[in-house]
Amino acid sequence: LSSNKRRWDVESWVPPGDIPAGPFGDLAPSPTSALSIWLIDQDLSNLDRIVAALAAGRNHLDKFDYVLVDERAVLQLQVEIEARAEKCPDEEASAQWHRNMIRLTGSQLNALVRLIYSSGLKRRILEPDVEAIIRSALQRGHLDRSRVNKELLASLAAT
Amino acid sequence: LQKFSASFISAIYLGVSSALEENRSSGSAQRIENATSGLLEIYKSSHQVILEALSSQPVDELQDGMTAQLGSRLARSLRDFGSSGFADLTVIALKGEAHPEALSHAMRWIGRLADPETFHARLLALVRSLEAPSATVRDGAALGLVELGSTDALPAVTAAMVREPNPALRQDLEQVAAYLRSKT
Repeated sequence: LSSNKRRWDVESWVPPGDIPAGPFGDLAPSPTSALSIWLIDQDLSNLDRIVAALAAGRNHLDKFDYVLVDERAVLQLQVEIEARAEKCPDEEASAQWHRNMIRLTGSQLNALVRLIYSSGLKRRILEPDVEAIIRSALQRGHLDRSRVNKELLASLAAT
Repeated sequence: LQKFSASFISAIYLGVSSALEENRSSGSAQRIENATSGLLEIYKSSHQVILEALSSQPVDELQDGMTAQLGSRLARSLRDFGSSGFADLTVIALKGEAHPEALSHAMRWIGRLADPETFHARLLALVRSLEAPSATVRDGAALGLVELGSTDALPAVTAAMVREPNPALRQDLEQVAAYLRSKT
């Protein structure tokens, strides 16, 4: 899941056993209660490709925060998951690794946030590395240039 | 009588002199007040413009990589006000006068500005903002220093790391310090 790391910070004012509300703002289910996620290989070998696919849709370079959570723990939440490609500049990656959590209930979302809060890995890729990942994906032909954000593409061409 | 007259005249003279002094100092006070109020107007105006730039994009739209609107507005304001603009932005960050998310993105944008002339003003603003009360703003300042890419920031980032009470942010500051070290 792409994310904002600061939302997941442990806050001292939160009573023991509870979590802050902030992290809920980091997960945005659709109006039909679906949540977009990506399946990352155990060895993280497809991570850069997915980061490039997501970051190429932005209008400028920036850091990339994400959370990793164990697939088995997610499945224990009895969440329904469908494999469905999402529109993005890397169609192949989307077809292979994009998933939707569907018919997500409030209690499942609550359990998911708690799971990520307690055991999810919150990570960050700094902007210069995001730039290198996008450039590499462009060179390898993973990204469809016509689907990469125009302003981003122009800024990459300028530097 | 002569003595009395002399002292009376002195008294009158002293009285006049004192009144003149008072008048003179009240004129100075007025001039100082006018000048101060003029300075305050400039301060308010620069401060206000930066605040307006910081709220130019709705908070719920402030997503990573999607803040070009805020960035261009901020860049324009900072160009208009020069170094006082950077000082104002720092004051706003340290006093928490704008939304932390907006400030976090603003910090990254000032790191991205391609303007060698304001390099030191930007470095100073970012380094000082590492002491902001909000963890989100401190994080943004560190990210701005990554954008700036100067190893001059390394001692300040290391010091921020040592005093950082938020363990997750401390790790992020370590990542920033490692990046800056890699540039040496």
